[in-house]
Amino acid sequence: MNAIEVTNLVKHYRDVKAVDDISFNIKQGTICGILGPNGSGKTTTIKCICNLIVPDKGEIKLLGKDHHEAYKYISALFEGNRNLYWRLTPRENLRYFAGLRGLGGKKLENQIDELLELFNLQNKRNVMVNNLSRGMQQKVAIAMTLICNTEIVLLDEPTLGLDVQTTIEIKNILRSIAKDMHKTILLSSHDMHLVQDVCEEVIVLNKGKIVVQDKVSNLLDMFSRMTYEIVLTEKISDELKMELKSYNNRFDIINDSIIELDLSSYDDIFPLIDYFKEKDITIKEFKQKEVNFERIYLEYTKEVN
Amino acid sequence: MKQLYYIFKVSLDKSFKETIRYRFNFIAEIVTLYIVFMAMFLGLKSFGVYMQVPSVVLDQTLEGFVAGYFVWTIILFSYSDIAYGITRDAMLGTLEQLSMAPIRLYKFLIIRAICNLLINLIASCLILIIIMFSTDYFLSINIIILIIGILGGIFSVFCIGLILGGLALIYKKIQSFLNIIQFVVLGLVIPGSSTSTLSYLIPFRPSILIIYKAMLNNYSLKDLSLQEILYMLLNTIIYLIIGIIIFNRCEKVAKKKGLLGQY
Repeated sequence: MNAIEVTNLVKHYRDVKAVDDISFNIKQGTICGILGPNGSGKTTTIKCICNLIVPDKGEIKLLGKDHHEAYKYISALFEGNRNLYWRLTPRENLRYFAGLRGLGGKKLENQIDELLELFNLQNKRNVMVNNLSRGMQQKVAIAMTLICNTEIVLLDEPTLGLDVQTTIEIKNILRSIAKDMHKTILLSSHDMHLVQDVCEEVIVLNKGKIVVQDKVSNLLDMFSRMTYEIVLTEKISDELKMELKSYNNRFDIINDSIIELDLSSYDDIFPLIDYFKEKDITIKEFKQKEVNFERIYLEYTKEVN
Repeated sequence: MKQLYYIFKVSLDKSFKETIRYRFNFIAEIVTLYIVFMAMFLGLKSFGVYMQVPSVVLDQTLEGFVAGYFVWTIILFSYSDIAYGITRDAMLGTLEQLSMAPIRLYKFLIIRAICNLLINLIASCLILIIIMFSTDYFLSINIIILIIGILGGIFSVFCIGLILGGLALIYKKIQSFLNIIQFVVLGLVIPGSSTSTLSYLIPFRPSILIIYKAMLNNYSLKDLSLQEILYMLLNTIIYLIIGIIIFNRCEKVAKKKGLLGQY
């Protein structure tokens, strides 16, 4: 079953088309990343899903139901460690936001304890949020989305400004939320490592349109298949560099003896080797390059720009 | 119902805890209002003596001033809490969370305003007690009538708060406008016993008339007429409905323009 179904979503702000007729589905129990440069329409899309922004056109369904009662299905974290009351403790914040959703009682107190333990915040449960580190505040904010006990969790920049250690912790927590708590997570981030490590699917937006939607593993496979590094035995001259560029504009000259190349098909390999042979350039190594998601992201957003 | 109970419970708990944790601000608010009162009070007293106003008339005026200031602080706290609350939530990034609660935002704001009112009443009463001791004007107050007057009419003040809150959703910073409203509200609380139709049409005015009778004329519960209660309730209900309609309209505009949560 789809947790989120977005069909032909359109949103303008005056003359600017923030979201331009996008459609996508996110399966229940998956972690999906929504990426894009600033102003690509990510936040508008997320806020439309949460019913915080009214779209001009389109339909949004959450677990098969209309999104107008989004509170039943979604909890969300917007822009990192905001979303909290700074003079309340983590425990009080969690209790407050659960109460807002109409939750309370002894069962809730136990759930709060469990969440604080999951996020390794037991020792800080009674410290005011403004006295916590940014990473801890972030963890409290994510815990806040979980205490609302909804099937879908939307996270906007959950690792913004965090150190490596906390980012790793949050990655593990996100995986555990999806796997053990069977939640669907839609996360928006500029942190490509987070997306690569945590998300199963990804949607890349640019200028309000979806430029790619696929499984992260598929994209990594596809790009690693197509990206090659060519190590030459000798340094190449500037003149030859120009020639190489004119032969194929997908050549990326890393230094005088290393060239990177994206191939659109395996058939392109043989003419390329012939070309080097003709130019009397000896190839020392010809290897498939390891690709990270950052490269894929830049590739897609560059094409549209 | 259980949902509303939990929302009310956590809102009251939060209001109380934040008042304690922002205690410097709370105390500073009381001190400021006290200093402003004393400046105005002493000015008025000196002016009365200078103009050779008969002492009976001057005493009545000053008693009225004490009572009026008390009511003014309650009104001030009540409407500004709603408006400031929205601005603060937009800054903290919690406004989106409030908007995703199972009840409409206006309902939540009214619940929060009631919780804050309970705490603000403590502040207003503290100011009143300090003022009475400082000025030696002790008002004999019938607490029951006072509570009926405040609780029965305060929703018309929430109307002002909701309208300002709605504007805060769209424009975010409405500080200057709030300052102007403070002076308009001063006009509302001028003591007097006029029962013209117009006075019943002004928000909170029927309640103010009842409160003044309790504070200045030793009105007891049996002196309260059904007509007075009816006017007070009608006034408060009509203004509350107006406030809700305008707030919802502003919320719709904010959602349409994507302003909810921006600061």
